[in-house]
Amino acid sequence: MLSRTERTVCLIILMAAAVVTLYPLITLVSTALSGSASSGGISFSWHMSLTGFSYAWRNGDFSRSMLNTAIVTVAVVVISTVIAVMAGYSVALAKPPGARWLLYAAVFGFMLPVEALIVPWYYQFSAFGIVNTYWSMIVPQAAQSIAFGTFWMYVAFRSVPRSLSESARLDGASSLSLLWRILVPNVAPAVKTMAALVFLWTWNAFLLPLVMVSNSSLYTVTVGLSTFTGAHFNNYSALAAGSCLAALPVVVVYLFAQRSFIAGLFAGSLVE
Amino acid sequence: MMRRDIGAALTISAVAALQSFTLIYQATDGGPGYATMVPGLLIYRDAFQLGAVGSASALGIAMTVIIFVLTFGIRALIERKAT
Repeated sequence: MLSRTERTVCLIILMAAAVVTLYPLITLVSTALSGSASSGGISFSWHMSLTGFSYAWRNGDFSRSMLNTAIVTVAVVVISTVIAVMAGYSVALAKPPGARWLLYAAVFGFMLPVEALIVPWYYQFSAFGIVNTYWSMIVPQAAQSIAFGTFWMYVAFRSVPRSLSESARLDGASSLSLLWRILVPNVAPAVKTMAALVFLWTWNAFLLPLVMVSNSSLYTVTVGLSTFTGAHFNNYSALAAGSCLAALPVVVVYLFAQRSFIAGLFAGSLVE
Repeated sequence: MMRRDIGAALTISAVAALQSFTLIYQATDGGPGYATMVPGLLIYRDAFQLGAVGSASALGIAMTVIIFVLTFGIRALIERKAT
């Protein structure tokens, strides 16, 4: 039981953290809505206008870059979720020979930093001739997401009672229907959380698309925003509006996924 | 009881700090001079702006080793005291 003082101190720390996090966000949105192109600073005003947004949308080619990011993100989320669920089932329950090493490979795979992998990726992909395509962004991102997802699903599947899969087996379920009809619905929060995390990482990926794509019609929204920032550095309202546009889908997905997100995070940490 | 959670949080934030790229690239580009340089940006600059692929790869391996040492070091520290 926490004492009164402890609780007060806790509350103060949390409120300070909330202020530190929220203040830049509020200034960002208010600058985006201020609409004053020439403003050389951040100011609050009750006058709202969407000119910042329309300027950013027209001059930043956001429709194109948002579409590119959406294509890459959806592909990565779908590919890595399907493969990670099956791989996680394999290492946690089916356990073919060598499953242990697959698990180690997965852990190793998501611990490797992108910065270290980006050089070999780039030169290998140049040799394959797939630089400047969607694939050059999808494949590496999916590979790292699968490595992470395999470990994530391994932890989730291990928490399912053994008796459940055994009784399904006795009822004559095949491996595939056992996995997709019985086990996956049981670990749905973990699957949703994994998909949301992969969505977030892929949407926000910056180094990978920056290196892989030099053709501006393939820019993802993060790279597009970066070049937009370089070209319009004194139009604060448009910059803030562009940042809001780039961040919006992540916020929407997070809001929808929030409940299972939190459930999934706890499910992950409580498993022994 | 919270030891493991603290260890996990510590590992994640240490590794994330080591891997910060976007913010530095966008805000200072490692400057002034090398005052705000991070390994990720150095690798990017060596490999894709200066064409020094060899030193970029070496930096990448060094960075990987540091991350592994950090991760397993923190883990060993947490596990040893936990029992």
